[in-house]
Amino acid sequence: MAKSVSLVRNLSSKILTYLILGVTGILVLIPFLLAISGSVKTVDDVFTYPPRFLPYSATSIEIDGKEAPLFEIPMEDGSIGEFARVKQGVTVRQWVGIEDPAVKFLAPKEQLQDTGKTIELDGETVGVFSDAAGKSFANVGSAIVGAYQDASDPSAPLYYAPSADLKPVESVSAEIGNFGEVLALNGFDRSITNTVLVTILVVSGQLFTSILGGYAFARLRFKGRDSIFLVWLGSIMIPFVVVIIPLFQLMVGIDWVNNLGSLVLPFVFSAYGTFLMRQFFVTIPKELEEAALIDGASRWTILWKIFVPLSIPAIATLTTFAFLYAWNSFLWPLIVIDSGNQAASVLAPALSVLGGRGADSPNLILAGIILAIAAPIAVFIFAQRAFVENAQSSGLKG
Amino acid sequence: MNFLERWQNRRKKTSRIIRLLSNKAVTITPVWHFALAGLLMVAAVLSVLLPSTLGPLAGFGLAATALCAGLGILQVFIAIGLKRGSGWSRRAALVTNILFIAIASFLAFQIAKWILLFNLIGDAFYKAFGGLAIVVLGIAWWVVAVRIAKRIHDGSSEIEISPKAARRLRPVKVLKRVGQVIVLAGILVWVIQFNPFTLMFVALGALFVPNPLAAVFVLLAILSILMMRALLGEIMSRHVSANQSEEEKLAGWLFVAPSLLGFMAFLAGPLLYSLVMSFFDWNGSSRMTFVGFDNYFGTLGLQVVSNGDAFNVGFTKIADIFGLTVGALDPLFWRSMYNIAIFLVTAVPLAVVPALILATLIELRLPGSKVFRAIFFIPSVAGVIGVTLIWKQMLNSSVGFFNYAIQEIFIMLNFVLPGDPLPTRVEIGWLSTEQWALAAVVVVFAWSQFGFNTVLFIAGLQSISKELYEAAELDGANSFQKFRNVTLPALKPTTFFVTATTVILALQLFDIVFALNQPNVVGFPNNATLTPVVYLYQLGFQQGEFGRASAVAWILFAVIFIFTLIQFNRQKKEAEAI
Repeated sequence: MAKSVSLVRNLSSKILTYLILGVTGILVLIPFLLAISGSVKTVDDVFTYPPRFLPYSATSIEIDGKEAPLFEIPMEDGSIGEFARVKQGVTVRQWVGIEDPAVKFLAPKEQLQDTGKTIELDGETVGVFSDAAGKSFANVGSAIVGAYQDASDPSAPLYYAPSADLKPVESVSAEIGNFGEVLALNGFDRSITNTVLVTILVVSGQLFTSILGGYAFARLRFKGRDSIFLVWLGSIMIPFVVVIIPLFQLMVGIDWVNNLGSLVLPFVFSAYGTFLMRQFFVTIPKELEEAALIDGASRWTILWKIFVPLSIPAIATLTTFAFLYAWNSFLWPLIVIDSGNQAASVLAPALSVLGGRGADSPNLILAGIILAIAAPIAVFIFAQRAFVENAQSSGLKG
Repeated sequence: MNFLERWQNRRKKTSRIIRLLSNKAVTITPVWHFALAGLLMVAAVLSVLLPSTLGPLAGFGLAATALCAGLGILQVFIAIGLKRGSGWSRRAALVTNILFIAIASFLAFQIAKWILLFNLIGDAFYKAFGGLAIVVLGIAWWVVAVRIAKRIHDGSSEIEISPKAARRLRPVKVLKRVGQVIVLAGILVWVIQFNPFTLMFVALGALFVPNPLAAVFVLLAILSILMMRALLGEIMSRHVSANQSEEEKLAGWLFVAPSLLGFMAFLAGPLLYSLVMSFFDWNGSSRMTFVGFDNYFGTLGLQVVSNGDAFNVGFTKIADIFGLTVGALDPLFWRSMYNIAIFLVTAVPLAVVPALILATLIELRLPGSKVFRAIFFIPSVAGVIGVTLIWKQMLNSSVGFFNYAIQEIFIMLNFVLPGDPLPTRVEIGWLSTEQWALAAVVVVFAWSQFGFNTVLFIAGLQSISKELYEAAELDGANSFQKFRNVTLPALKPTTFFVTATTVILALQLFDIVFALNQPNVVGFPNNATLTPVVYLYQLGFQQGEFGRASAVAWILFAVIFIFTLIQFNRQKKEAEAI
């Protein structure tokens, strides 16, 4: 008895755990899923209310070699028929039944027979026409409308109605063209390649200087090493905002503004990276190094042939850190690169410009966002462990 | 003679040059330093006679002359010392050479305008992106093939592989080969499209045209490198048998040098300059005028008067507290501080408490919980601007999903709750109304931050010893009691760390506000989301008040530093306790 109670409790607590984790997971994923679906929506679809999760677009069929969009038209028997719009801007007359004033429809003049008679309606004199069945109708006005053909029965007479009154037939479909469109917008494609280039340069630069510095701090005894290291550690605490103004002044002074170089060169040095590499190098046994030294290897050789191959986990961690930093950096490029300068623009500010372009094309904005976040997320999926370890190392040692 | 041999021969030849140099180091290096002294003296004389030739250095006037002359005299002493073989002069010569290499390369870089190469590389990189894409595709292909091969191997070593597995491996080997071919083809396409030779040609040409001085500096830098290597070789040959301390010391300085120079140029220097600037009134173009602490007073200044009394000139009323009226010299700064305080007390708990709970749940290690850890982590890798802009679409007042979700919840609640029905059409202006704008920022911040914190908490949880839980179980504690009495106390340091880092991050809030509200009208609506960094950005880069902006930066730095210190002390205490 007691056992089954605890079993039930155990099971219910498991279900509760999954429920909480699941709901949170959905809350995290929903914005991304919405962004993906929004990025392949048409402009009309983004602005429909209530908002829909899946992307829809108007369907069309081909009639006489031309695309004809489909619309929903309520039929007399209450069902809804699908009609293709074959012509637009057709001038038609409005007709009202004389025997039965409730019958109202639109049709071109040629479709009915002029009886030559007239009738007084609401104080106006209007002509009387009759249809094939012999019923007579009064011509009460004219309108410019679209002509619709029954999609299931092309031989049926055309239906006329103003386009605005009809609901287009929609189906789930992805507007992949959005991506191409956003790539061509304001040099967005150039921003992407620039970001890739800057990221590659910053990551490799940081790895190089951090490995060199980390090795020196970990293994080479020289006067002043520990005090320099302390200053190094302290500099991790300095928020970047404190130095942006003088750094910007420096860039202006040496004429580096509006250039990709200003996004790379100041950032190939990383106090955090040096610290991380040092912490890892300290754990590598000294005997390895001493044996190599006796064999006459230089420090340089020892570092790249012995230490670096042993430090792949730390290097992977540092790589993820530098990659995220370089890929997502925003404030600095915003300051040193003019927003109109496409040759040196990078993703984060380009996205911000795109997002500020106004509300006229949210689907394009979302397509741009998807392109921008795809790379880091793809890398994350591939190298999940390095990312998580990076976060944890910053937690345990920082 | 094949390529490899030729290359090795060349290496031998260069090392012969180095060896030759180090043998002659005693005679050559003093000459070099005499030459350097001569160069510096010429520069000193030029700075007096023809100041314009020195370019930006000329701005320093007499100081530049004195510096050049002083360094020149120092070089003479170093040269004499080297001749006599004294230890200090060797060290000074090394430092001189390192600095000279850095300065000469920098000058060559600037004179040849090599910075422009970056945009050219960007151009070529853009045109050659197709090739790069092929390379990436090939690498992905190859990685997949390797993984498949590993799975077939399944732990068995290469030699004792079963014939069955060997048969299955054959197609995988083909796959691997295909991947390699794709990579090679991609590299080929990339090199053709990228055309590095043109770039190299441009880079080399820039050294000579329009100003051949760049080439001269490159030559001097190369000479300096050779001299340094000669000196190093000489020192090494002296100390090789006795001990390695001298060599170690030199290598240490050499290895730290790149980071150290970068640190000085791009962090320490600007930091100092920023401190200096905060005491000046300067808008970038006018003359700097020293104003003492005025920038700080002008930013922080507050005056409290009883109701009805008038403020001093320059003060504007910002709040009423307990029948007193508070006025400030800079109401916008205090508005930003007020906003960030509100932001801290709302966003930080939202980013920390759920993370703690979720980490505990994940550490129950039910099957599949690692997937959740990965999912929670996605927002922190996706990039702040991207996720903020997604949220911006969701927070749209009329067609956004956020309002729609609230509305649907209201409609459901109306069935359950008695009393007045909740509105069934929700159109909250999350981005445009003063009352909600900061709340939207809080939501986005907490949403994008909690996953990272969850991972930190998981690391903390994993470091708690299992014995504590076992003891609690023996005492009959249920899971909630275990959480309250074991997990929470043991997790205190982690909680503290996570909170402190989140606070420090939150104090620097900028990106979310910038992306969420209209660009260049940041602080809109009605400064409800004005944060200190946004204010700093407006002051410095939109109004050009560099002095004031620097003061704001240092005030913010002080605030952040207080939090850092608290956390640091805390960690130190824990370390001592252990």
